[in-house]
Amino acid sequence: MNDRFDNIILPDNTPDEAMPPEIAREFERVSASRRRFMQVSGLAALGAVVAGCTAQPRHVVPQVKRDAEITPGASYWYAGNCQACSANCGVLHKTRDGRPIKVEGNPIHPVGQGGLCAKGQAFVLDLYDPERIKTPLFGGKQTSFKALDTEVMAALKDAKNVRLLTSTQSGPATRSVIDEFCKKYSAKHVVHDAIALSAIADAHKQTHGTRAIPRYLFDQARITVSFGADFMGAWLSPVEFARQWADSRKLEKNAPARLVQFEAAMTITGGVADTRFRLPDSERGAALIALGNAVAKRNGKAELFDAAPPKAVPAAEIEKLAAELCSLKNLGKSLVIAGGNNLAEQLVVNQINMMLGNYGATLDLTHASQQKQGDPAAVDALLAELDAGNVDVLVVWGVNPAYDSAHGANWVKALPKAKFSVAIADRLDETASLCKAVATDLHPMECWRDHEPHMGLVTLSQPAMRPLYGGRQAEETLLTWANIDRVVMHGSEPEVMSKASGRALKAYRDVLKEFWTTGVLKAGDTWELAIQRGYVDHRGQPGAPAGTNVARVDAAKAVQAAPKGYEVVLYESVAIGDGRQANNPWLQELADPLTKVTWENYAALSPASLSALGIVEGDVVRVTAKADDRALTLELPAVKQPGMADNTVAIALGYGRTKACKIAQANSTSGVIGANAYPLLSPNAVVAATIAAAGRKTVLAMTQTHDSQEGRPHARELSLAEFMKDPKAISKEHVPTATMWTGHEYKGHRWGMVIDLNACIGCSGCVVGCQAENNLPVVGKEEVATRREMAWMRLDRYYSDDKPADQGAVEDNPKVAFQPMMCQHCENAPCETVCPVLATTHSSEGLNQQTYNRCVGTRYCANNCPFKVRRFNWFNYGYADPSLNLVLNPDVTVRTRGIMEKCSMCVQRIHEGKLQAKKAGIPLPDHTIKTACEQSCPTQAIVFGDMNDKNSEAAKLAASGRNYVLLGELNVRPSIQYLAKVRNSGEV
Amino acid sequence: MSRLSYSLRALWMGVFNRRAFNKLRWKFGLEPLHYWSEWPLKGGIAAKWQDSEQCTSRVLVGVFGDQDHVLEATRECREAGFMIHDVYVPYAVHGLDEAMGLRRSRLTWVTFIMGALAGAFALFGQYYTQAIDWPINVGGKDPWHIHAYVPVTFEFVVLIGGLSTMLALFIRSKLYPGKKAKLCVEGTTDDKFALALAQRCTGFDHERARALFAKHHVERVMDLGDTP
Amino acid sequence: MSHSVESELREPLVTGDKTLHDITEAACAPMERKPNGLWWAAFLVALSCLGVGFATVSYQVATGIGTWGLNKTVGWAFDITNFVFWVGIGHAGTLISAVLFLFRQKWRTSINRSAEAMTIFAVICAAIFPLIHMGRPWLAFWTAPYPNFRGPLWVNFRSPLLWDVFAISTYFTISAVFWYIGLIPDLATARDRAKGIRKKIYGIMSFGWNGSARIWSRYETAYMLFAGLATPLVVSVHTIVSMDFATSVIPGWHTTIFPPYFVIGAIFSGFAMVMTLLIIMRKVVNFEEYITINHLENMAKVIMVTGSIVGLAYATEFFMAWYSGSEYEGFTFINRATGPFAWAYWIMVSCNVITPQLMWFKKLRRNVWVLFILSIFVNIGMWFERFVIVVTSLHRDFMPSSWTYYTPTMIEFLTLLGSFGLFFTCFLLFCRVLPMLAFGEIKGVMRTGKHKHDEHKHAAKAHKPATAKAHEHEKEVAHV
Repeated sequence: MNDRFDNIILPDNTPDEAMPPEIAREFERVSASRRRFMQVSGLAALGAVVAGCTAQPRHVVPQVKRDAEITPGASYWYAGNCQACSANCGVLHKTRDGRPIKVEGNPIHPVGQGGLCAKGQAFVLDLYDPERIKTPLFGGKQTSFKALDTEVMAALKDAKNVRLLTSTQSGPATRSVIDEFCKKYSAKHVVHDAIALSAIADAHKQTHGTRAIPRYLFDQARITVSFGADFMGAWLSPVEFARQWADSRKLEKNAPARLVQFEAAMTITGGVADTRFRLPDSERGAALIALGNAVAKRNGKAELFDAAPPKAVPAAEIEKLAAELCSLKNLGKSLVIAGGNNLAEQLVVNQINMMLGNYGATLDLTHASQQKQGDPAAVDALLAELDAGNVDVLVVWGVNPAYDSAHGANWVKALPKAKFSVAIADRLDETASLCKAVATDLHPMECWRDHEPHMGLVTLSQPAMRPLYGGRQAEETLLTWANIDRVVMHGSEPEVMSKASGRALKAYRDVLKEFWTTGVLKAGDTWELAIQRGYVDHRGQPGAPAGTNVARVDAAKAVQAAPKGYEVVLYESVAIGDGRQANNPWLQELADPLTKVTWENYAALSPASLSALGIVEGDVVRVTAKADDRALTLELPAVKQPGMADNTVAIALGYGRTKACKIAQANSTSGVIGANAYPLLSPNAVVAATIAAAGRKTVLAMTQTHDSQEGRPHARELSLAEFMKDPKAISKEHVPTATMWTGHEYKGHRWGMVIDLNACIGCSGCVVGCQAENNLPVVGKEEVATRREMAWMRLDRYYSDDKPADQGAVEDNPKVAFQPMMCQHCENAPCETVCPVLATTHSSEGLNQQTYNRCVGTRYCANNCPFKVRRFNWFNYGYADPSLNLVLNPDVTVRTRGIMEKCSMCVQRIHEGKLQAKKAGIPLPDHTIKTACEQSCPTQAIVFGDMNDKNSEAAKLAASGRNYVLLGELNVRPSIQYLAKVRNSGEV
Repeated sequence: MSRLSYSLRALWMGVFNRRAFNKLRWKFGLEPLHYWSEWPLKGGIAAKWQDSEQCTSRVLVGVFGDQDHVLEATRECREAGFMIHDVYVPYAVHGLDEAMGLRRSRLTWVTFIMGALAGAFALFGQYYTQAIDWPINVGGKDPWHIHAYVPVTFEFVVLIGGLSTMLALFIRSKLYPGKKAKLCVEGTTDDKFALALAQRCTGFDHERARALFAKHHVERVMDLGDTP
Repeated sequence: MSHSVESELREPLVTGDKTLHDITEAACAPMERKPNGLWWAAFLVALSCLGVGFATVSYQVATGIGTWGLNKTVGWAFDITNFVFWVGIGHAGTLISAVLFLFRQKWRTSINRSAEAMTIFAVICAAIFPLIHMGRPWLAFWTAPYPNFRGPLWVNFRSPLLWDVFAISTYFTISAVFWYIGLIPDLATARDRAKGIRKKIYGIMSFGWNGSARIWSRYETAYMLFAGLATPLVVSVHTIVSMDFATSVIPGWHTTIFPPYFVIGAIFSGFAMVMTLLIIMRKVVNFEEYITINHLENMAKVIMVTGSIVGLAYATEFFMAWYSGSEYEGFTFINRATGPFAWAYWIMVSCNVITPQLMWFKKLRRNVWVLFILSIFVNIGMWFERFVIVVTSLHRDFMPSSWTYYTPTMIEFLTLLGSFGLFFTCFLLFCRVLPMLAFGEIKGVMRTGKHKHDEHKHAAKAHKPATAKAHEHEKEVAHV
C-alpha cells in the first residue's frame, strides 16, 4: 500500500472521521462480485493505513475521502515561497492528485513577479529525492520521534551552553520560534550562509547606523555599475533583480538603462552588460576607489580616498563612467554595487552611492533585505567554542557547515566535541551525519512557514503535500523541544506558554495562524487571503536614514596586492548554487549558461592563461592554493572561458559533495562530482594559486562546443544608435516568400512565440522549467558528453566576433549573446516532409506535432532540422529511483527509447487554456495560456500568443520591427520570432 | 431476408446458367462443361495450348553437336515442310527462332499493360491516401502535388511490370518449381542440340527427314514415341 | 536473337581451346567437387564476421540505438553510410548484367552471374541498415502502406525514406528475379549432371527446364525485358537514395547534382567491388580462362572513366558552393576539406580521384595485382565518400551552437564488419552451390573473336566423331 500517491491537502476545518462514509457505504454494498469485493477491500485497507499512520489526520486526508472542491486529474495551485535559496521568491505549487509536480513563479508576488530561476524550478525534484531520510536517527540508528525527543530534551535540560545554528530564517514566526527556543534554554542563535554577504550589512552599520542589506531597486536606476556582483545569476536575489533590470530596459518606454559590469570571471550579468570590463578581484578595491574619487571630484568634493589606480581599466573609462553617473539626470537614478564580502570595498560603494544620492531612490534601507542574514564572525566563534569543547548541545537546522564553509574540515573535527549534537535535517548530509541525533525535517514544500524577504513584505507558505515520509517540520521540532505551543511576535514581551507534559502539542499550522492573526496581519488582511496570495505587503515608499560619511576609509584595506600566480575566484553557478541541491539531477545536467559544461565544476581560465599554461580545454589542472591557513590542491578540468581576466582561475562552489549525493555520484568515476572549493573561500583577501597541468585529460560533458556564430545572423544585436536610426531596420530585410505550394489556411488560432533577446539574460530558468513541465529525462554525464542531452529548450550562447575597441583580442572580452532555442514550429517544416510514417505533422493551429507512438525512430527529421532542436531517446532514460517518478507531469507522455521528441509549445497547456475558455464561454483571452518557458522567465523575454489575434501581445511584438526569424532564406517560416538585442553602450 | 436471397439466387442462375453457357460453347464448337472447374481446361485458351503442344505423340529427334548444324537442319526441315515440334539447345542459339519460324513473343505486352496498370494504381493509391482518405498538413505542402509521387509510382511500375513478366513467362512456358524435366535426349543442357520433328502430320517422310539430318552431320537420330 | 556483326579483330572472350562440354565441366566443377582449404578458410572467416555482426546487432536492438556513437546533431553516420555503400556496390551487378546486355557487350557473360549475385547480397546488406538504424526496428512494417484501423493512418509518400522503401524492395525483387531467371538454364545443366539429393534440389530449382527453343525464345524476350526494366531501375534507385540527401535542407546534402553523382559513384564502387571479388574468385576456382585479363582491363577502363566523373562531381560541388553565394553551402565545403573531418575527405579524394588515374597506363591496367589494390582503394574511397557526405554535412550545419564531432563506437565497426561477413558468407555459399559462370550465355559467345580463324579446326574437331556416331545411331533407329 503506497499511501504517498494519494495525498491531498484539504482546506481548513475538514472533520476527521475514522471511516469515510463512502467506504462505509461500500461495505454495506458488498455483494457476490469478487471484483467488487477487491475494490472495496482495497479502499478499506487504504483507509486503515491512512488512519493508522497519519500524524495529522486533521489536515491531510487520503484521496478516497474526496472533497467536493478537489477533482482527481485536475491541477490545483498553492501559493508558497521558494526556499531553494534565501531570496524567497513567491511561487505557486502545482499539485496533481495530491502531489506537487511543478513550481512556478507567483505572478502577483513582489519578489520574482512570476519568474523563477533554475534552482527554484528544480526545487520540486528535491521533494522526491531518494536521499531524504525517512525516520529520525539516534546514534546512526533509526528511532521514533518520541524516543528522540526524550533524549534531546534530557540533553537540553542539563545543558548550559546551547547553540542553535540555522540558515537565514527571515519569517517573523520562525524567528520567534527560534527566539523562544533560545530563551528557554539560554541558547545562542548563529546564522550561517554558505556564501555570506555580511560585509554589506556591516558597511551600512558604519555608514547608516543600521546593520542591514538594503533592498535594491534596479528598475529605478538608469545606470547600474556592478563590480563583480552577478546580481542576475547568483547575488542576493537574482530573479527579483533580473526582472527589475529587464523592466528598466524596455525599449518601448525610453532609452534602455545601462549596465556596466566590472568582473574577473565571466558571469551572465557580465554577458548581458552593455559595457563589460575585465577586472581582477585584486583590483576591485582600486577600481572602486578610482571611481569614487572621480565621482567626488565631479561633485566638488575632495578626493575621498588615496590609492593607486587600477591597471586593468584605463583611467579614461573610469572618468567617462563617473561623468555618466554624475550627469544630472542620473542623480538618484544610478546604482553602484560590488560583489565579494570585503568590508572596505563595501564602504567605498556606500560612499559612492551616497554621493550619487541613490539612498532612498535605488537603495531602500527602510525596507531592508532580510535575505542573507549570515554572520561569518559568529559562525567562526561557534566553531572555536566547539573546538574548545565548550558547547553542551548543538542544534543544527538547515545548514551544512561541514561542507559549505571555508572551515569544513575544522567542523568535521570540532562538531563531535559537542557533548550532544542534534541536526534537524531532511537528509544525512556532511553535517547531519556528524551529529549524534537527527530529527527528520520536512521538505519546505511540506511545511507551513513564513518569510520576510524585505522588511514589511511578509510571505506565507503552505504545504503542497502531506509529508512524503512522515517527519516533522523544524519549527514544530523546536517547539516540542522547548515544550511550547504558542509563540508571540519577535521582540515583544515574552509570554511563554508551557504545556503540561503528556498533552499533544499544537500543530505548527495552528501556531502560525495564531501568530499571524495576532501579530502580522493588519487591517484589511485576512488569513485566507494571505494563504491564497502567499504574502502580505506592508511596505511603503523606499527610504533610508541619512548616511554619515564615515571617516576616510583606509584605502590599504580596500586595495589588495595582486597575488603571485593565479587569483582564485569562487562563484555560485547558476545551476548548483551553494551546493545544497547538488543531488538534483535536473540541475546537475543543466548546462552552465556560459561554459555549457554539465555535471561538474572546473577551472575556468582565460584563453591567454590556457595558452600560457600550454594546455587545452579538457586537460586536468592541479590548482594549489592557500587561503588563510588552509592549503588545498584541487584537480579540475580546465575550461576555456573567453572574457575572463588573465591570471585568474574561476571555480564554482557547490560541487564535491561527499554525502547525500548519490544521484550525482553515480555520474562520476571518482564517486564525487566535481571538487569542493569551499576551503578556498576567504572574504578578506584574494587567494593566490599555482596551476600546473596534471598530465591527463578528461571528457567534459558540454552541450555546446562551438563558441562563435561564424558571422551568421542568428542572435542579432544592434547598438542603440543603430536602433534609434531605424527601429524597424531588421524586419525590413528581404526574406524570400516564393513558394511552390498553395499553403494552408489557419483559421481560429495560430500559435506563435516572440523571444526578446534584449531581455534574455541566460539564467536558464526556462530550461529547467521545460524539463519539469514536459517530463524531460535526465541522461547522465556520459550521455551529455556524447552530446545527447534531451533539453527541448536550450540556451545557445555565442561569443560575438566584433571586438570592443581597446580590449585586446576577440576572445579576451567578447560580447555574449544568449539565444533561447527550441522547436521553431515552422509552417513549412522540413522535418515533417521527411518522416516516412507521418509521425510528425502540422496541426491546424500551426503547431509542429510529434506523435510519439507513431515514431519508428529514423532520425531523418532531426537531421533535416536546420535548428537542430529535435531530441532522440537513444535509450530508455528512466529515473534510477522510482520515487523521482512522482514528479512526472501526467499531462505529458513519458517517451520510451527509439522515439524522437521536441518542444511541443506546451500543447497540454494550450489545450487546458482553450478548455477553460470554452467552459467559461468566452473567447480565449491573451496571456491565458503560458508555456512553461514563458512562465518561468524572470525577464519576460518569452511571449506566447495567438498570431491570428492582432491584438495579442505576441502578434504586436512580432510586428514591432525589431523582429526577425531565424534562417529566413530557407523559407521554412518559423512560428517563433526573435527580437534583436539592443546594447546601450552609452553613445547616445 | 428470404426474398433477398431468392433474388440473388435468381440472378446467379440467370448469369451463370450452366446450360445456357454450354449451349453457347456448343455453338462455338467447344465441348460442354460438366463442372465449372473444368472451364480453364476444356476448350478455351488452355485447351488451345494443349492442342498445339501436346497432341503430337511421336517425334523424330536428331541430335547435333554444333549450333550451326542444328540451325541449318532446322531451317531446311522447315522449308521442306516438316513440322518442327521443338529444338532443344543448351543455350540460346542465335537465329534459331527465325529458323523455326517462331513468332515474336508477346511477353512485352504483358509487361507494358501490367506496368501501366501498376502505375495507374500507384498514382491513384497515393492520391487516395494523401489527399482523400486523410489529408494531413505535412510540411506546409499541398495534399496533392505530383512531384513527390513520381518515385514511388515509377518503382511500382517496374516492380509489377517485372513480376508479371516473370509470372507470364513461367505460366506461358509452363515452368514451375519442382516440375519434372522431360528431356528427349541427354546432353541438351550441356553440349547437344536436338531437333525434334513432329510426326503427327500424315505423310511424315522418315527417309527424307533422316537424309536432311544426315546432311547436317547428325550425331544420333531417335524415333521417340512420346513427346518430351 | 539476331546475328551480330563481329569485328575480326576482336579478342576472344574465352581463352584456351574450349568445347561446350569443357565449359560445362569447368563451370560445374566448383559445385560438384569438395571445396578446397582456401574456400573453407575464407568461409570460416566470413561466417565468424557474420556471427559477430549478428551478435552486435542483437545487442544493439535489445539495448538501444544509443550503443552507436550518434548524437543530437549527427543522427546518421555508419548506418546510412553503409546503406548507400552497399546499395552502390549492388549497382554494378545490375549494370553489368542489364546495361551491358542492352549494349550487346558480350564480355559481360563471364562476370554477370557473380556480379548479379553480388547485387543481391549487397542489397541484402544494404537493406539491413535502414532497418536496424531505426529507434524501434520492430515497427519497421509501419513504413508499408497497408490498410489499417488507425484512422486509417497511411504513410507519407513525400518522404524520401518511403521512396527508399519502395526503391530498395523493388530493386531487390527485380534483381533477384533477373538473377534467378538467368540461373534456370544453368541449374538445369547442374541437375542433369547431379545425382541423389542434389539432383532433386536442382530439379526443383530448375523449374523443369529442358532447353526447348520455344521457351528459349520467350526466355530471351523476358530477359531483355528484365534488362530493360533493370536499367532505369538501377538509375532510379540510386537517384532515390541520393534524394534522401538532395531533398533535405542541409547544406552539403541539398544539391541537385546528387542523382547523377550517386549513380556514377555507384557504378564506380560497384565495378571496383566486382573486380575485387573476381580477382580472388578467378584465382581460387581457376577461372582465369573465363575471366580473362581482358575482362579485368575493361572493368578498369570503366573504373577510370567513372572515377574521373566522380572527381568532376566533387569539383562541381565546390564550384556550386562558391558560385551559389550561399554562406552555409560555402562553409560546408570548406569545412569538408579543412574541418575536423578533413582526414575523411582527403582519404576520399585520394582513393577515388587520384588512384583511378593510374589506369591510363595499359601496363598497370593489365597487372592483376595493381588492379586488385586499386579496387580495394576505390572501395575504401567510396565508403568514405558516403561518410563524408553524411557526417560532415550534419556535424556542422546551420546552428554553430549544435556543432559537434562524431566518434563511432565499437558497435558500429562490428556492425560494418558483420555486413561484410554476411556478404562474403552469401557469396562463398553461392560459389559452392550455384553456377558461378553464366555458362548458358558463355556458350553462346564463346566463338566470339575466334569464330573465323578457328572454323576449320573446329569443324574438324567437332565432326569427326560425330559423323561416325551418327551412322551408328541411324542403324539403331532403323532397327527400332
